[in-house]
Amino acid sequence: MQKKITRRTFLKKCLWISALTTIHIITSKTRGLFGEALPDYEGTAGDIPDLVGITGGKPVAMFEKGIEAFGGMSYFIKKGETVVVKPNIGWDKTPEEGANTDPDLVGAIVRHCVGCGAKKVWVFDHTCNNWKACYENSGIKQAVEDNGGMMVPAHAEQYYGRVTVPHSDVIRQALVHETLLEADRFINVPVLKHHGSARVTISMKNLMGVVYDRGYFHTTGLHECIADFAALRKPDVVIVDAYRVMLKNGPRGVSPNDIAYKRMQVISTDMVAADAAGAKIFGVEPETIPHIARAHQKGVGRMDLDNLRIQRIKMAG
Amino acid sequence: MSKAQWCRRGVATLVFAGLTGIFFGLFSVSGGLIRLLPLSQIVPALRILSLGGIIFLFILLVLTALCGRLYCSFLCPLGIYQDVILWLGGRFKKLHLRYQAPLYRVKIPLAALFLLSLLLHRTPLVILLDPYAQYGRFITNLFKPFVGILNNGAGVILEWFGFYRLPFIHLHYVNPAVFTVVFAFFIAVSLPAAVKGRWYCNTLCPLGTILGALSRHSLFRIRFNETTCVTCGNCERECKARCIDSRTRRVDSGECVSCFNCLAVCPNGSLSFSAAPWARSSVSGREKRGASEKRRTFLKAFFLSFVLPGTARMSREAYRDRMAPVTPPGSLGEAHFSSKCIACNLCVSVCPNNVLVPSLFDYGWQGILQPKMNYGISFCSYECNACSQVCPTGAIRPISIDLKKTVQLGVSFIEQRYCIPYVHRRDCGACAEHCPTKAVYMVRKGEVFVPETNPKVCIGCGVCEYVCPARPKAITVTAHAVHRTAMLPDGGEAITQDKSVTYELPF
Repeated sequence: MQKKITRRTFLKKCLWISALTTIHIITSKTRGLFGEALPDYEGTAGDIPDLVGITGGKPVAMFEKGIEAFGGMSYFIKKGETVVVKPNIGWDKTPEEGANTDPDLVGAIVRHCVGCGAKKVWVFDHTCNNWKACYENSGIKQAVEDNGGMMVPAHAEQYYGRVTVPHSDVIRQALVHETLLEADRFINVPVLKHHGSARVTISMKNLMGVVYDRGYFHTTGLHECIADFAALRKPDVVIVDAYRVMLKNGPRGVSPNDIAYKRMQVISTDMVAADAAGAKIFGVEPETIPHIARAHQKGVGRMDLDNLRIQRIKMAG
Repeated sequence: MSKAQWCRRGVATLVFAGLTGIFFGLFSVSGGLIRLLPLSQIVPALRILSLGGIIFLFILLVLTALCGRLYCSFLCPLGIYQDVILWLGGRFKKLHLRYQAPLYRVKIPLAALFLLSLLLHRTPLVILLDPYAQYGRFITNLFKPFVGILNNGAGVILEWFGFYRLPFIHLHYVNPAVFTVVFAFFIAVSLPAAVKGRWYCNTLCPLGTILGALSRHSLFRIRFNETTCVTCGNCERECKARCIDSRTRRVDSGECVSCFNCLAVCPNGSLSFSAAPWARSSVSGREKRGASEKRRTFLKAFFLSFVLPGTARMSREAYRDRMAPVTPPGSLGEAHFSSKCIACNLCVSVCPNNVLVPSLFDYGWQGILQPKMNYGISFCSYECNACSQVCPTGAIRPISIDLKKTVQLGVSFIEQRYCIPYVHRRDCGACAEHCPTKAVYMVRKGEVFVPETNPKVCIGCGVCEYVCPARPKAITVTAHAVHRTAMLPDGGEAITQDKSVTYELPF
């Protein structure tokens, strides 16, 4: 026998469904169903600064001095955790050419992570040039493996998993490296460089190296995609290598003539703040860089450095 | 087993393993072994015509006239490959090979055409029939992809457990059409090899025929001792060249590949590799007639093949309108490259970026399977000259990395109708980002940066075309028929380093 749906039962069922949906929306943390709201920005607590700027030393010395402001790497990394360290290894270039992150700095970060008891430290980049040549000639492979980390290939689609990017109307899905999806902690180690189309490349632009189908960024709007993608997974700490700074012909560089030695470094828990500081070191105002401004607007982080707790460290030599 | 057999197996194993290793990239590109490659193969030596190559050819000719077709058993990778196949086949089923009279009707015209095309003009004959080039193509288009698939499968399994020891190998350089052609030849060589021994060498291989013409009357050759031979037929069953007729106690010296296997199986030492008296007196009237027939076939084929240059010209005109392929750096241009290349695909094998791919008819039908740069799947690495270091024929001249950086294979052109910043007013700049010489650079146009090109420093490496996210591509490389010289990139004024800088944080 077939039960007939009367108008009355239909209306009753509708009421039940809407009631349950309302309860679900209220009790669960599903935000942004009707808008683009992001969680409020939470700064660091207590004496821990939002941003540390170090100047005047070698990359490794500056890092070791700067990380003390957070009470050492153990502030970020706990025993038994898996860590992804993402330097910029985009180009088949030597460390002196400033196109990639300083290998000694990457090595020191890996060493600190291992020292904090990290179970695994993965390092990779979706390189622009031949990946083997980039890993080897940048010196990063050697530095990472000497310090107990593991270089992971990132040159083929099979190493990536598809994820949905939240709160974005320009980029909805992306193929992101599987180690990043798996890792407990994420350390972003960009190098500060000029960039022909993104103006400057710092931490948020460096995240394009965890994406496989990054041609989509270029076709859909580079700045919008960079800023929106940054909300997907915020790194636990950003370490901006501004020791050798490529001031023109970036991001690849033509010759060592493109390099200025700024001898600086920025460590922050906030990517947008780190990029704002990096932009200032580069010599441009952060507001003029569309992806930094957009990320600030979306609440990924803050570029108003005046309102942040900043610790400045000057090293001799 | 005889000493001669041991010697042959030793040399053959070394050459075979060495060549295979070079193709598989087991030895470094700049290794000295690669320099010996054109000194061990006939057609590459003929093409490069270096002093070493000429000396090698001269020694080989003298040796062949004295001792028979040593090349076929000691040096030829395809010959050794067939021996391996025959040996494997013999392990499944005991083979009994039987004498087969030489197929002069096929052999001689092929050899004549081959000789003529080597001398006068290019035809696909040299490319398709040269045994070394064939073996190279087998590795590049069949064996390497096979190993690659195994590696990638095992790599996926290891990846599940968090190991990244077997990185993925890109196989997109394998072209289905090229694969089909190479696979057809692979079957044509391998199947007969498993049941009939050196069928390819004594039927199709023009080198076999040409060397055979020399070794027919070689001083040293396999000979029967008529008084002790018991006609047991062991030697005939063992002869992979199928050139021993045990009943009439005859050896076709022209077909013998000097493997020396027959010496080992003869029960009472009735066979010997020894100096023969001049054979002319023993040639019978019937054989003489056969010989004159052969001569006639050869001459007919030789004169017929003069028709071919005409057809070659016709085809060249037919493909003039087509988009010319980009040839690798060091190849000087399409004409030089295409006239020297025998499509052994060694450059395809060693190219770390897999930008070099075997083409089908991009160079016309005469240049079948010759490699070209495919910027749809990859680009030429700025810091690499691997292909120029390995080419055994001189089709790609050896050039230093510094020189390579100024060789202009073609120049890039922007099609503004497709270009994202021009059309959609959005920043893109992928091309300028990757350009190693800043031949593509971004200039401000209103709100966005748009790409422009500087052909003077463009080297035609194709990275702009490869990374361009627009479809159809908004920037493409157009090949030069003859490569030109690009200016060194200057990158603008040098950044002046202020020595008195205090390194103050600007925030």
